[in-house]
Formats: sequence, structure tokens, C-alpha cells
Amino acid sequence: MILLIVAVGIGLYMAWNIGANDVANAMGTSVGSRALTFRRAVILAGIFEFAGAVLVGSHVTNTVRKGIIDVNAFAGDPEVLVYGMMAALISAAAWLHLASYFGQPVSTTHSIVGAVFGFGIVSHGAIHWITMAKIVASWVISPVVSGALGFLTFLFIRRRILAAESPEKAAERHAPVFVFLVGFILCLSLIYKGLKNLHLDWPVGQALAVSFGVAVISGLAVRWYLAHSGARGRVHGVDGEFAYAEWIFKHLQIVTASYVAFAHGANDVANAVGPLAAIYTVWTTGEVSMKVPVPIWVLLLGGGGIVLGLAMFGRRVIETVGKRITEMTPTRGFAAEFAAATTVLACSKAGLPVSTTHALVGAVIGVGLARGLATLQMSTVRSIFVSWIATVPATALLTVLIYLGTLLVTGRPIV
Amino acid sequence: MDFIRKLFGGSPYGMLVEHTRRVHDCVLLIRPIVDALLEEDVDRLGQLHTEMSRTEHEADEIKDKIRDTLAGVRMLSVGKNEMTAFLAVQDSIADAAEDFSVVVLLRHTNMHPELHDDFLAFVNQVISVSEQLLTVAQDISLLAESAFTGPETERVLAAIDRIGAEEWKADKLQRDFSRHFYALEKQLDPTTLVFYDKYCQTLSRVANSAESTAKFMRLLIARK
Repeated sequence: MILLIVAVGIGLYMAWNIGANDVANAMGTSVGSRALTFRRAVILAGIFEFAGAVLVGSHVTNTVRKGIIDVNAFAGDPEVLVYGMMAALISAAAWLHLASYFGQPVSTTHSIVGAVFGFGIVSHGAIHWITMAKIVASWVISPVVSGALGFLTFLFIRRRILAAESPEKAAERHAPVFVFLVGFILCLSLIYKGLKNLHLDWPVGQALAVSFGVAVISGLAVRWYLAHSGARGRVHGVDGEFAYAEWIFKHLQIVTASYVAFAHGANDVANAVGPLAAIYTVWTTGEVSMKVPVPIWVLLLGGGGIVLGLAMFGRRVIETVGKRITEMTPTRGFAAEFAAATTVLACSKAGLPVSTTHALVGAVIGVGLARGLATLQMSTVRSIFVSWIATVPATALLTVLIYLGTLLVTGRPIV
Repeated sequence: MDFIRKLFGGSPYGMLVEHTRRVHDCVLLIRPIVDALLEEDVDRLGQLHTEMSRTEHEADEIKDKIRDTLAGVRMLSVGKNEMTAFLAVQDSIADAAEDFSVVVLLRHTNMHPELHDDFLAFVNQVISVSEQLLTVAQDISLLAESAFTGPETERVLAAIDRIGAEEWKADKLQRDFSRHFYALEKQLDPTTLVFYDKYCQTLSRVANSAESTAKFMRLLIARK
């Protein structure tokens, strides 16, 4: 029981950390472009992070709790699995805290996967190497895919909207299409292979049809609004012919920022509650068999922790990120966020834990290659790369030390 | 994590415009130097040469600042080599303007009264080429917002083409001036002819470098 309470505490801490630090990447540009006030950004992020965590977070959570290591290897002594997952949680949280203290960028995803991997190594190779290989491959592929999607999205915006005879009319024509796309992907992610315990596991045909319907309604609503809002008359002529197009994308960014928050919640909640889910399952059943689905309260705890971190500390971070990034105009922000969120959500549905930040970096580079942005600060790219390389071995090693220490303290043999 | 903001190296186009502006300030000094030359005001020539050196040095400092900035960033859709080559060519405009101010000071060379009009026409045309380059540079900075696309881009590319035509006019005016002073060779001593020729060379270099810079700008814009 004490172990479970400690695990809940550390899981909450991890979730709080995710909310306090990572969510700014979703909302920062929308606050910076004044599409959203800080208060509204927090509310929106809270709703969508929570929804993503609870409704789509089970896939990656399952991977973290039983996909990386072979839990059946602990059938004879389930307590060892509990100690190992605790060690993994403590190790990931400690690494995160240390890195934050020194102001270094760290991926919560890499931290927890490295930590669980470390436990698998020290417990005599109880690792699903194929799953681990898929995860590592996804860490390389997701920024590349996100980059390609960001490139194509901005190329489309550049050629079909910014290069149009009338960028204003072109933006009005395409905005409903973009909303349709986001709505379709979001809805499909919810109801196709969704949470069984919330009856969101619909057959593919039905899921496609309903998602299409919801997306069409969303697109039509935006089209109606643009036709009746009178914004074109107010916005045009103030900053030139692109002002209205950028205004439309400023508001579309609210949609994509929410989309990123949703995808982030779906993928990152596992970093906080994956090991907790494993510990809870052993504690309640006394067995390591993981056929039961992820308990919903675990996802609620994770989602709640993220929202708490965002509400308590998000302002400071969002305001820092949201300081006007002159080059990141709404068209660029939209393209980058759409690409990153789509990639992360696809990986979430596939049960692959990926770094939302790295996907966003890949997307931004893609937008830059499509002439959306001029330069990248190499020192930032280098520090991301270094943390990428260092985090997995660091958390793996920390987990090994904590786990072996736990075995010593509890008088268990170290074999 | 403040990644997204720290990820950007900033747009280099703003700094490039700053450099273009400073280089053009060097070119603008050519007219007062020519006025002082025609008025045979040696003291004023000395002062203007000092001001020209200072302005050219400031342009160099901006150039170095840009190079330092470029050293730490990765350019995404335009090559760093293209950018530094562009900077070097643009810098040569300021160098040529400074060389003109040096040549003028090397020797007290009077301008034959019959040559004043031709010489001024040539000088004004050279300054006009640099002015148009500055306008294009300022437009490029705005084009970056539209990701170098749209009707505005075509307008700027057309303006770049016109710089080529204006440089050709400068060449023609230089030839007119040269033909005129060679026609007066019996009235002028050989050293004076040499210096008139040096004026032509340095001023032509200003216009030629401005045209080359414009061609680089075309490369920066037209890249797909």
C-alpha cells in the first residue's frame, strides 16, 4: 500500500512536471500572437490535455507498463516488478528534476522509456527488443515525418494562399478545409480503437463515417462564421494584403494549439502513469498478467496532474515562450502545430511513446525548408541532440542503481 | 521548455538591409566629394574622406556582426555560402566608394569645365543604381513575411532587372565622359588623364558591384 501511495505521488509529480513545462510548446505561440489570452490558453490546454490523456492515453500507457519489458518474466515474484517500476519512476523524476535545475532540455518520454529499459536490463534481459527497436525507430522517424508534414503543409499554404491573386479569398476558402482535417483526425483518434471502457471502440466504417460527419459540420461552421463575421472589412488595410490571411490563421492556430495539447496529453500521460499502472495491476491482482485494460482512474490522475502543473506554473513558461516570436507568424505556427500534432497522435494510436517537443522541432524545420523560416539556432539543436543521446543511458543507469539499492534494503538477492 | 523560441536564429534579412543602408551611405558621400572636387575645395575633400572611411568601417562592422551571427545558425532554405558571397559583393560597393575618395585625395586634379556636366551625369547615375538597390533590399525584408511568394515577389524581381538596365546607363555615361576627356587630351596633361580614368574605374566599380549584388538578391528571392 505504501509503495502504491509513493508511486501515485511520484506519478503525480511527473504529470505535474509535464504540465508545467511541456504544455507551453502547444500554447505559447498562440499566446504570443495574441490569438489567446493566457487565461484562455490555460483553460483550453487543460481541457484538451486532460481529454487526450484520458481518452487516447491508454495505448502508450500500455506500452510503458508492459510493452518494453517482458512482464511474464516476473510471474514467479511479482513484487520485483513493483520495485523495478518504482525505481523507474523515481529515476525518471529525479533526472527530470536535475535537468530542470541545470536548465537543460529533457524529454519526459525518453526519461521514462530509458528508465524502464534500465530495469529490464538489470533484471536479466526481460526486454521486448522488437518493441524497444520500434520505439527508438519512432524517435528518429517521428521528427522526420513531422518535418515532412510541416514542409508539405506550409508549401501548400505558401503556394495556394500566400501566392494567390487574393490571399484573403484563398485563406477564406481553405480555412474550413483545414478545420475539417483537424476535426476528422481528432474524432477518428477518439472513436477508432478508443477506450473500451468508455465504449469508444467503434468499427472502422462507423468511425470513419461519424468522424467525417463531425468534421464536415466543423468546417461548415467555420465557413459560415467567416462569411458573416465582417472581419475581412476590419482587418484588411491595416497591415497589408496578408493581414486578413494571417488573422484567419491566427484563429486556426487556436484549433491546432488545442490539437497539439490533445496529442501531447495522449502521448505523454504514459510518462507519468505507465509504471504506476503496472504497479497498481500487480497490487490489485497479485499477478503480472496485464490483460486488464489500463484503469481509468490512472489516466484521470495523469490528466489531472498535467492540468495542475499547467495551472500552477504554466503562466511563467507560456509567457516566456509566448514572447513575440516575430518569424513565427500564424501561417507558420499553424503548419508546424498541425504537422507535429498529427504525427504525435498517430504514434499515440500505435502505442509508440515519442517526444512531442522533438516532433515540434522537426515540424518547425520542415516549415523552414519550405521557406517559412530563415535560420535555426544550432546551439539549441545541439542541446536537444545531446539530451536525446544522454537521457536514455542516464535514466537507465539511475534505475539500475535505485533498483539494486531497493533489493539490498529489502534483503532480496541480487542475481 | 523554451525550445521553440530558442530554436530560431532570427531572420538575417533585417541585418542585410542594415548593411545595405550603411553601404549606400558610403555611396551618398560620393556626390559631396565630387562637388568639393569641382569646387577645388581641398580641405572639404579631406573631411569627406575621413567621413567616408568612418562610414565604410561601420559597414564592415555590420558585415562582421552578420558573419558572426551566421556562424552559429543553420540557414534553412538559402545556403550560408550564398549569403556570405552576397555580403562580400555588397561590401565591395563600399570599398569602391572609399577607393574613389582615396583617389580624389591622391592628387590635386582639376576637372576641366567642359567635363563637369558629363561627369556629374555619370556620378548621379551611379548613385541612382545604389539607391535602387537599397529599395530592393528593403522590399526583400518584407517579402520574407510572405515566404518569397506572390505578386509582390514578381514586382521586386522586375525591380532587380531594372537595376541591370540602370547600371548599363551608368556604363554608357562613363563612356561618354571618357570619350569627352580623351577628346580634350591635347589640353590636359597625361597624369590628369590617368586620374580621370581612375575616377571612371572606381565609380564604375560601385555601379558594377551594385548590379552584382542585385543578381545575388535575385538568387535569394527566386529560390523555390
